[in-house]
Amino acid sequence: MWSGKRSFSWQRRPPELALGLALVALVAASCAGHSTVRGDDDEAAGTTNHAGRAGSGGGANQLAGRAGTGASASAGKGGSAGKDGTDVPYEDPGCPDAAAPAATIECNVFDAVSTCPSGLACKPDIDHPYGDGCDQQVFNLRCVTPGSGQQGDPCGNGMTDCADGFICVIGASHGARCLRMCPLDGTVRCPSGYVCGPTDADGIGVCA
Amino acid sequence: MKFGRAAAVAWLALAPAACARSGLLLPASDDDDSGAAGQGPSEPTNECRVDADCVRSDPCVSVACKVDVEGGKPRAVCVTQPLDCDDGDVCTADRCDSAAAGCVHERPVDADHDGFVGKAPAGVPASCGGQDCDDGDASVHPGATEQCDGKDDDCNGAVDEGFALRVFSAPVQIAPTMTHTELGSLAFDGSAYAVAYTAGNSSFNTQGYFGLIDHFAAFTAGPSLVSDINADSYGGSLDFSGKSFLSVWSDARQSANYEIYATRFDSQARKLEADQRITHADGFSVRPRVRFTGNDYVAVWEDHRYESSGGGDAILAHRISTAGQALDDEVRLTGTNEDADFPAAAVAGGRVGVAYVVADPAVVDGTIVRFRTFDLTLGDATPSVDLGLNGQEPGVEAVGDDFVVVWHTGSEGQNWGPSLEAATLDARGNVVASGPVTFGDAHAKLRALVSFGDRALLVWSAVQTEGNPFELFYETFSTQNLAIVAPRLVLATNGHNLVDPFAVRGPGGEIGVAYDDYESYSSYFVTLTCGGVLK
Repeated sequence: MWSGKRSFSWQRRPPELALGLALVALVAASCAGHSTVRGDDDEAAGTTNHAGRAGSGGGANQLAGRAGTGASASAGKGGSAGKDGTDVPYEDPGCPDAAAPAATIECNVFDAVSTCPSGLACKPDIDHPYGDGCDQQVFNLRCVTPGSGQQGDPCGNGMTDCADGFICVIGASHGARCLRMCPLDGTVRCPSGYVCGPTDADGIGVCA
Repeated sequence: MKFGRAAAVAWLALAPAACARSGLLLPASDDDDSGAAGQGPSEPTNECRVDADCVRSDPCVSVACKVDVEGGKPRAVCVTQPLDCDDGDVCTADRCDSAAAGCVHERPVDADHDGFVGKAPAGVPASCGGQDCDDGDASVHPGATEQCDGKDDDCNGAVDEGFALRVFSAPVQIAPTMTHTELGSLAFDGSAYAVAYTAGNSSFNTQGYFGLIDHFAAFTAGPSLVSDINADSYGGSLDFSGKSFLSVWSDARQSANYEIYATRFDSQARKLEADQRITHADGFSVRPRVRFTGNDYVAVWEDHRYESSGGGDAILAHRISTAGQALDDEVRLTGTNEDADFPAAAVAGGRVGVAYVVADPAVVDGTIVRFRTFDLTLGDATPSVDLGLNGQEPGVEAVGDDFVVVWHTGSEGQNWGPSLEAATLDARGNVVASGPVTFGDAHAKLRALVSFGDRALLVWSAVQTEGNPFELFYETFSTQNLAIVAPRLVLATNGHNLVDPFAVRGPGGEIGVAYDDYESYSSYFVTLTCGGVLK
């Protein structure tokens, strides 16, 4: 079964790392009230961390000492007392409401006639947030030089590996694949045997 | 059953007399030599003159005053040893229970007083037990009349045999006031169905929800927001521990990629703790699945963290406690030479079975569906077994003490194959049967399985005739030889592409099924009942 929306196979590239690190500091300041707490490596300590202490001011995200161990989470009111049967509901402090972030919109992937300069193709790409959890993705549409990948071809870069009309996604078969884009309004059907499934880009599906 | 050592029994019986004969009326030394190595079965704890000087703080430990010799200097010290509970009877499970303040000898009994002795407890030969497959339910025993109730009433290994599943009522939309819903999971808590789903809440992102629904998809609790963040978040995978639901999902709130998170909900759809971040690594962590093992949860997912170093994708897992907390370290379930994705997991025969897809090194763009099992702590891995070529997105379910894996074939480039393939494996990963389980479709994919003891209900999505949309079908097949037991019937069709079925056993003999409509981008719920009648 599909696990949910298909995810763009967007990978962090070295030039963006510096930008990402800068964002960490900015997000920590912007998310006051949505603090994160350090997770510990053992269950008991972790339970204590989330045992219903009221949330406090913002702070930078802290990761557990061992990779993949423990948990980080936002502090809130209530929460697990640590054992089944003694649970109390948790009040999620949530994130401050945020407007849709400014995106770069150079084109529309479903335009019948492309508005991109000759030789370029309209592709979505996503900037994923660093931060402590209250930022959001930025969904851009850019004119880029397309690749040659057709339906089902392996790919590694969401923007430039696939041909015009295709994007690189972690989809419904092994590995990242170029898949044909389709609108999620039901106006265009995929070829027989395929369905237009959503991606994590608003309104843009892929035939899978 | 022998639980302790026979030598220990003898030591316990003889210790007081031996102490007396050994002239243990030695003066207690003022020297505190507690660090000296003892020669008995455990470290000396303190010096003594007689047994009565030794404090027995744990009813499951025996203490005695014994002579110890260190550097040629004899002295008497208290020594401890686990209490030996072996009663010499092979048909009892012997253990010491601190709460009971002593030994407990568990013997197969007729606990429900239905005239049939229950199965042998763990560790006791099966020959010592009886044939009652549920000694906590007097209506279940050999010779009972099979009912349509989701139970193996007559203890023949088959559930609800002789009853035909039929659609109870027309499909009902889940969360009709929300837009662009997409299912993440379906579970059952003994009284209500739980759904996790994703819905578009604005023009620019989506969020995951959790709620409980009745037979007609009406919310009885919730829906509640899984996580109140601004980045995309999803409904995720669910399982129920008997007291609460664990939801595990991926979202992109931080670290510039998707990470795995978990939280719990109770049966009132109330969130029970803050989101627990399970993964902390570069590269996407996606497609999580969670299963309750009986002790804790196991979450498995596809991880892309090794791509940056030139490695393939991997299947990782993390145990999560019933209190929703990550336990121990995460475990890589696949080998460094495997480029693996699409994990699915189930628990059968006291083991965790994991099915996944790996790249076939022998064929360009080829794939292999692979399977292996682990103990409940994710250790003791069996060797992986290849189940089929060109397979995608396996699902796995426990059927009795076996695992049943079902997958579809093809790819987005070649289009999807015409049949679903299946394999039955025992708890050690030995293949019992394999082969196709659906026939006559142009394209078949995306399935759900429910155990009926000796057979499985299969719900799948298929294009029967080229050019038609995907419709949903159901059938049952024998898990021992994969023969079709109840041929396919239509579950749902409406001219749209109906995909992503989830199925779970509900109350009585009922099966709940949820799925997505990939043209209206909405989700639906329907029930299968015996004869299409609601009990």
